[in-house]
Amino acid sequence: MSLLGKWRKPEHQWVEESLSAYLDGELSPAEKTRVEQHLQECEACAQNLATLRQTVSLLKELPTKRAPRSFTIRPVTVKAKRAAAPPAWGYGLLKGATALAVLLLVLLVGGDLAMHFVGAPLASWGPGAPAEEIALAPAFEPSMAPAPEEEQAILGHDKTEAPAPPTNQEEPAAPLEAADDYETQEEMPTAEARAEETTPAGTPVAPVPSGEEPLLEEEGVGTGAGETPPAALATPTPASTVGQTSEPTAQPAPETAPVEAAEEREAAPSPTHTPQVLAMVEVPQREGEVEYARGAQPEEEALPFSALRLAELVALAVLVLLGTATVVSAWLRRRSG
Amino acid sequence: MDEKALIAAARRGHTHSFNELVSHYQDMVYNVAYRILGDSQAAADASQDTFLSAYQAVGKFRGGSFKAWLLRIATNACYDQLRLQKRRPTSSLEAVYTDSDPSSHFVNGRESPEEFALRHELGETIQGGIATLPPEQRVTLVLSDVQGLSYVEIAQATGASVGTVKSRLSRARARLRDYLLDQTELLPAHYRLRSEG
Repeated sequence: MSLLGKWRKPEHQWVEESLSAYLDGELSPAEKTRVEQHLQECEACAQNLATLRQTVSLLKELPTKRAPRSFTIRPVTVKAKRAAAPPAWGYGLLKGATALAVLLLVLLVGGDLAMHFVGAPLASWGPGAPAEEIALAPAFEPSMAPAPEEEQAILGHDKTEAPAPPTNQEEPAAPLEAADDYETQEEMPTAEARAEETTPAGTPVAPVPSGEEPLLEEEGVGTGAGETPPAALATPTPASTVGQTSEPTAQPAPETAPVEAAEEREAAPSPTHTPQVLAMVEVPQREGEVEYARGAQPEEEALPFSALRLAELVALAVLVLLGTATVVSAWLRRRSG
Repeated sequence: MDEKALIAAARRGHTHSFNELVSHYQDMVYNVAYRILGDSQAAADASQDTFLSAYQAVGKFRGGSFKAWLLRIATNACYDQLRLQKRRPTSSLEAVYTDSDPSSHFVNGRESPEEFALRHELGETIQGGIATLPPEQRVTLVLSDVQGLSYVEIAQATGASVGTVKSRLSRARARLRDYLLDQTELLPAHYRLRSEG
C-alpha cells in the first residue's frame, strides 16, 4: 500500500502538471489515457481540471482591446525614429564629455589652488614675519653670490617706492611700522637704526656704502632701465658686502635711486625668485605701498593666474553647457521611453 | 487580402503594402501588448515599436508564419516595456486600476450596463492576476489563452521550445487560477470559480 502510495503521488503530480496540456489537446494518446484514468480516481485532480477550464474560458472571454489609433508607417515616422536613435550613443558621448569637463575643471582649479599656495608665501611672508625675513636677508648676502644682487635691485625698488606720494597718503597716521619703512627709505641713518632692532625696512639699509653706493645704484638702475636685467642685478653686489659694515653712510643712496629704480624693477622682475627677495617685495606692500605691489605682481604673476582663471571660466562654461545638455537629453530619453 | 503578395511588396520597400499588413494585425498586436502590459499607453508604445521594427526588418523575413514573426517582435517590444515599467513601477500599478480604454466598453451592443460593470470588474481582476505572473509566463498565457495561438506558434513567437511553452503555460494557468480563487469574493457570482463543484 505504501509502495502504491509512493507511486501514486508522482502520478498525481504528473497529471496535475499535464492538465493544462490535456485541456488544449496537446497530449499524446497514451498520455491522454493516463490522465483520464487518474481523473476517474482522483477527485482533487478532477476539481483542478474544472477550475483550470474556467480560468481559461474567463481569459478567452476577455474583450479584445482594439488599437486606439492607427500604427501604419509613414516615412516621416521612420525618419523620426531613426533620428531619435542617435541619442542612444550620443547620450553616452555627452555623459563622457561632461565627465571630462568636470575632470578638466577639477584639474584647473587644483592647479590654480596649487599655484595659489605656492604663491601664498608671497603674501604671507610680508605681513606674517617681515622683520625676521628681512633681518636675515642682509646676513645671507655675503655668503650667497646671486642673492645680494637681486636684493640690491629690490632694495633699490624699495627705496624708490618709499618716497612716492601714495605711501604717505595711504598711511599718514601709521606711526611705528610705517615710519620704519618711510624712514629707512627716506632717511637712512634713523631708519637703519630701527631696522636693526625690529623692522624689515632695515634691509634696504645694509647695502649702502658711503661713496660707491650711489654710483652703483645709479649704474644698476641705468642698466636696468636699459632693459638688461643681468647688468642691473650685477651692479649691487659690492654694495651688499659693504653694506653691513657701513650703515649710516648710506644716506644718499636711497634718494638718488628712486626714479630709475622704479624702472629697473619693471625691467628686471627676476629678483622675486629668491625667498629673501620675495620677503623684501612684500614689505612695502604690507606697509601700504600699493603701487609697488601693483607694479610688481601684475606683470609677473597675473599672467599665469589670469590664464588659469580664464581656462577655469571656459571649462566652467563648457561644463554648464554639457551638463544642461546631458540633463535635457536624459529627460527626453526618459520621456520618450 | 493576399498576405504573401503584400509581404513580398513590403519587402521590396512598398510602404502601402506594409501598411495593409499593419491594418490587419494592429488590433491583435495591441491586444496582446495590452494584456501583457496592463497599460494602454505602454501597449500603444509597444505596438508602435513593433510595426516600426517590423517595417525595418521585413526584408529579413524568411517566410513561414508572418503572424508568429510579428508576434515575436511584439513580444520583444513588450519585454522592453516591462523593463521600463520595472524602472518606473508606479505607472503599471496605476494602469491596472485606472485604465479606462473606451474600446473595452460594450463590446457587444446588447450588453446591459450591469453586465458591462460586472464584466469590466472581472476584466480588471483577471488583468490584475496576469500582472502577478513572471514575464515569460505572462507572455505565454496571453499568447495562448487571449490570442489563441498553438503551442508551436507560441514556441516560434517566444523562441522557446514546445516543452517549455507547455510547462510555462501550465504554471501560469495554475497560478492565475489560484489568484482568482483567492479573489472569489470580489468576483461576481456568475464568474466565480467553483472549486467545490
